[in-house]
Amino acid sequence: MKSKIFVVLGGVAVMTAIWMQTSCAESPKPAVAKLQPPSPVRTLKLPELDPALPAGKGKETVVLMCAVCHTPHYILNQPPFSREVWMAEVTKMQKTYSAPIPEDKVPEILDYLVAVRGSTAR
Amino acid sequence: MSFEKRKMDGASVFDRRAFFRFAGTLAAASWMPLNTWADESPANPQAGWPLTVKFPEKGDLLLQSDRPPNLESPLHVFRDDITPNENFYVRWHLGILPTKVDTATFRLTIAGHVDVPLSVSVDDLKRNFEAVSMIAVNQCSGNSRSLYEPRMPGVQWGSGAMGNAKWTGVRLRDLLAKTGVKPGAVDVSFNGLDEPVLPAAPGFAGTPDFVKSLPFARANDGEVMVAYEMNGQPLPMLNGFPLRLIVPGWYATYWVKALNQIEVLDKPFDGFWVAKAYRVPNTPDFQEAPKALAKDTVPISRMTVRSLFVRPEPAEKVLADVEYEVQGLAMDSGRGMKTVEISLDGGNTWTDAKLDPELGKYSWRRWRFAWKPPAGRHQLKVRATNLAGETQTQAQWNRSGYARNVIESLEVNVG
Repeated sequence: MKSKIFVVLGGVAVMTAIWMQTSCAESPKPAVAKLQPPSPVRTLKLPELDPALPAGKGKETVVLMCAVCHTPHYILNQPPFSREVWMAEVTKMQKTYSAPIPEDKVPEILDYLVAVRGSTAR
Repeated sequence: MSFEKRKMDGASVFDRRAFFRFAGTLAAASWMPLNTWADESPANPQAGWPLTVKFPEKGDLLLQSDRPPNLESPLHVFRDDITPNENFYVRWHLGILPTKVDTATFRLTIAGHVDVPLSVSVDDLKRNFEAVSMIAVNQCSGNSRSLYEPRMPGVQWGSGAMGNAKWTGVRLRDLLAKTGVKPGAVDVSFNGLDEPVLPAAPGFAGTPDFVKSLPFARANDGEVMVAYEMNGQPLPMLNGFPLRLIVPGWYATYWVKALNQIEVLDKPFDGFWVAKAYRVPNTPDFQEAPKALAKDTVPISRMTVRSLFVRPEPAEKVLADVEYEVQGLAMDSGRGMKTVEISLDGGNTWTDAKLDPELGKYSWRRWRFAWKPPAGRHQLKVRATNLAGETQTQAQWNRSGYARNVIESLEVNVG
């Protein structure tokens, strides 16, 4: 009786060992199964590098009304311009690009632009 | 950096997403080369921001602006005949550019004055139309704007708002033929996925969407292409993935990125970006004077003839009495280059430079000049002339700083 049990247990052990071997041998899945078709979706993660505008009267207005559409770079990396040239730019932003700049805010914005990137030339 | 959420009514609230984007920027700053941060002198208005940046799919490019992205190729990039995609300059007009494109659902539509409107995927273009390739220069209308005097507002490009790439795609003519264009077509307009931050709405004019047009004859000339590859790869997102209009010989303003709508028109296109913007004086070399602006303007189109120095670079020191190969590029609108000449005496006498083999009529062409200079300061000039006899000017100005073709000078310190 005991010997029969040992035979059965032994048989189970051997079969388990064989099953484990084969299953282990199979465990690294074929590389093909891991290949995915290239994703049809392409994404772009844009860094935001908006530089801080220098302190000055009118800065908050400029941040609110100019930087809504574009980076402060557009102001800071211009060469120095006269008040007239900056006026033309502000008007262009209002009239052509619909920047929501009320007329009574224009002098404040111009003061700031001239203070930051102004010149007496031209 | 503000963590306020900007609203059209002027109100603003704390923007959690902006805060996390900022945190991401700090992390991103760790991969920016530190030696490229601007000199923080009080005289330098750009103090404290990086001179070069790495945007997605891009190498180190000169930062003109981040929102929208305007990135310039540094001079050394032009030592290659073909500009690698990662070093190709970037120019966007509107604040909202495509940040996600699903090519499974993306469609290019062609409609308007046609018999059968067309809606095609990128795969349709690849499967159902003949593929063509072309090497062509793409140059911003405002390339070299910062060299004009007096200066004018706009992106202050040096001469790196250009690149030369091999474009692969389909002929626009083949697409138009498939739609069956009706008689009387005048213009064809082109729109991309980019959008204004403040779009038009009832009672609000808004910022004009970036839509360009070509005369029908140009659009249908068999050379204008819709490209799905740039240098054998899908276009980088920042250069117009998945499709870009290629208008060889014409300024890049027409090369609409992320192109998704084409419309054939039976009357002249009157959109802002052609009717009001990107116009040049209707004068030779697009000249006008600051105090006498031209009354008659036309849409910018063909590229002017120009030549540039690539090496030595402006700050490079050249050894005396040793042969040095001066190198540069020459380009035009596809007429073909006849000569590139160098002057070593301020423009009194000129000697031909040696032209490399042509890579295609719309490609730029490299020139080389063997030079064994004595010690001292030298002024070199370079002048290109094309087969149509078009050449470069001594001086030039126009209000927008477009289409520069002034003879370039280079100061070289030899010792």
